[in-house]
Amino acid sequence: MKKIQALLVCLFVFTWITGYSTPALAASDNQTKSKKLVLGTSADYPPYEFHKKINGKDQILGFDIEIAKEIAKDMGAELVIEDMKFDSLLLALNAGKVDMVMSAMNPTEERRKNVDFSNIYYQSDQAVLIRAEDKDKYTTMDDLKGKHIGAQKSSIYEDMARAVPNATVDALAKISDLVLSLESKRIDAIVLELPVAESYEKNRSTLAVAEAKPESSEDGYAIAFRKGSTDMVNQVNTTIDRLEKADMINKYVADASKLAEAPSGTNIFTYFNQNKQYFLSGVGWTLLLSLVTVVFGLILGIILVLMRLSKVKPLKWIAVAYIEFLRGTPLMVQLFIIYFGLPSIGIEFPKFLAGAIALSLNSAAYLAEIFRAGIQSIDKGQLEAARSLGMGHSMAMRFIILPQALKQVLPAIGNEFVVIIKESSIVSLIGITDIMYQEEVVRGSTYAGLPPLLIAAVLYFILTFVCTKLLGIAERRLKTSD
Amino acid sequence: MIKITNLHKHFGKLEILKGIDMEIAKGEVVVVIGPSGSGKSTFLRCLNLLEVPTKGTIEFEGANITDKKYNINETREKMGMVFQQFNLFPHMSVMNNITLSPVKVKKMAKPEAEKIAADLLNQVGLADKKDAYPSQLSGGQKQRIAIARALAMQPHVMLFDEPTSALDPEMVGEVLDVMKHLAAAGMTMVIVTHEMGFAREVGDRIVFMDGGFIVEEGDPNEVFNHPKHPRTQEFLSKVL
Repeated sequence: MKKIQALLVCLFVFTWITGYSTPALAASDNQTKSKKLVLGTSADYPPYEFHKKINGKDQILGFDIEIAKEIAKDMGAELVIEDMKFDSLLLALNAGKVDMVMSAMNPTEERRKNVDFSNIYYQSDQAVLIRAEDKDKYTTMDDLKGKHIGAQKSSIYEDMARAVPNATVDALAKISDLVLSLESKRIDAIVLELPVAESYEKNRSTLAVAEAKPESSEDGYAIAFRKGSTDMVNQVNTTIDRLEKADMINKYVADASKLAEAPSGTNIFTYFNQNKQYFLSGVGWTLLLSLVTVVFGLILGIILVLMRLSKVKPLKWIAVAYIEFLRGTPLMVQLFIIYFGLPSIGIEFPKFLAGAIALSLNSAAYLAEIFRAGIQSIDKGQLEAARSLGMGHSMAMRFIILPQALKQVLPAIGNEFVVIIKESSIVSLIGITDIMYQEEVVRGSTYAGLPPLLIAAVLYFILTFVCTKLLGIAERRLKTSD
Repeated sequence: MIKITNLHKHFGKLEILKGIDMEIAKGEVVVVIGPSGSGKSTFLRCLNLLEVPTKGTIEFEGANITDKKYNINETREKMGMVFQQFNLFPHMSVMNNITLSPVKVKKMAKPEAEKIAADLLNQVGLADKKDAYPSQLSGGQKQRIAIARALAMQPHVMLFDEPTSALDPEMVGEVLDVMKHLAAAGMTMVIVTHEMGFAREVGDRIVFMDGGFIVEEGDPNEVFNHPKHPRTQEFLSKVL
């Protein structure tokens, strides 16, 4: 009982942390300066804004950030950075959580209705990224006709790719995934932003920016403020003017592009070492999630199998329906229903809890079937012997049948645990920072293709291998009575 | 002590017991013999409701245990049962096999249960096996442990369902010896067996069953030496 309590406390604490922590990466916000300028940004877009470890400390860098620093300096304020999802930036701005938003944001008409924008501080170009050996093949946009083109999902680049006649378009959520597709020849070209394309060209010898250039429809990037902040907007425009006159912005872009570069000439071990903290934190979350899932999956699985084998018909029906449904629908669908679907009827879980619930509910169905096989494999003479000694049904189950059944199915349960560890990678989809999530973060920020995937594979393998070995030991212990 | 009236048992359409009437007195040793499929095991298993009778009543110490409202677990505490396949609990040591039910069902203190178990292990000649696991024992040893386990509940009657049928011939003797001692000590026993010599020696009464009926019953010497019914004669001529 104590153990279960401790576990619940752990679960609570961790969900609380994941639910509410937004990494405030401000240099120091306990210093009592007169003024603070809080910048909202979505730091997943090098070289504009991105995470990077400097001297062992995770920091947010990028040329948006450099410009913001200058703005803060001119205001005589201290810059505080809030990292959040792109979708939530303007909400946070209007809710007063941040003072301005810089995140490679286009000042569209739609957005202008809700917020004020500064002047354009940077006009980006788009480019076509291709494999280096195809450099001569794609000199004009016409050469891309009928080809396989990749672009970031729901971006303006997707529209540009679709505008190419007869082209097949692959829209993926992440640039890093698109690059992987390009390198593995699934697609022939990627339409994307020029600085980003140039970063990849610089960092990956296999890639090049094509001479072909998509038509521009971009209107540049600007800084967003709450409606009516005219004074502030004017002040910021002065800073932008100053920086443009001194040609500082292009310098910032070049610097940030350099900073965003992956260290060159590294093997996979040094690569792992450089990004250790991301991967290890991922391992921690994957382990915790798997552990919680195993415990609650087992408890629920036992309850389910007892219902399933019960003589009370409705209990049996409920268990059968539950097991069939959970086994018959994809885990991803179940996860999305719990995380995205349930809030619409007022049930909202923090993401870690949602992930743990989805995984536990799912694996309980499988574990229940494993237990059923185990229970039914026990000779009925065992139950008869127990009953003839005066034990009631539940007592006989608890002391005689279940311990033997458990031993019988231990290899199958071990297999299910391994499955849980691997399947848990699906929770990266809702933003739980497990191994897979961290792998994507690292891949996105270091321009590397295969190494992070290989590291993730090795980490998962170590976890499952250790799990298998531990269960092997448990099996041998239980065998003493055979 | 046990009064059985018009006992019927069907499995689906198959009629195994077709109306059994019997009374068993305290201290009596009743041996049930008969060909395979005669219903003798089913009859025995009906006595502690491992098989629920289709029709008829069983009274045990004055209570109608076939009444649906009756708590059968209490009766089973007083009716020890020994199975053909021993059915020891393989995941527990011999000591735990014997003490589990006294401790969990009778709420006996563990030291007391262990003392009783040690006495019983002495009685069946296996005091040195208390920490062994069933898989380390021979068939004869297993069955003696199973008898000790049943006796640990301090039953008023012991039911034996072909206790030596699964044993190698050289081990039959050790189990029968334990049963003989038990009978000599005055235990009420109902035994289904194919050991005719044993039946004749230990039985106070022999019951011959065939086709779901009791065909003939009586004193062992009468039944074995002067069987009246042709079916009894035929059966005995084959097995003796």
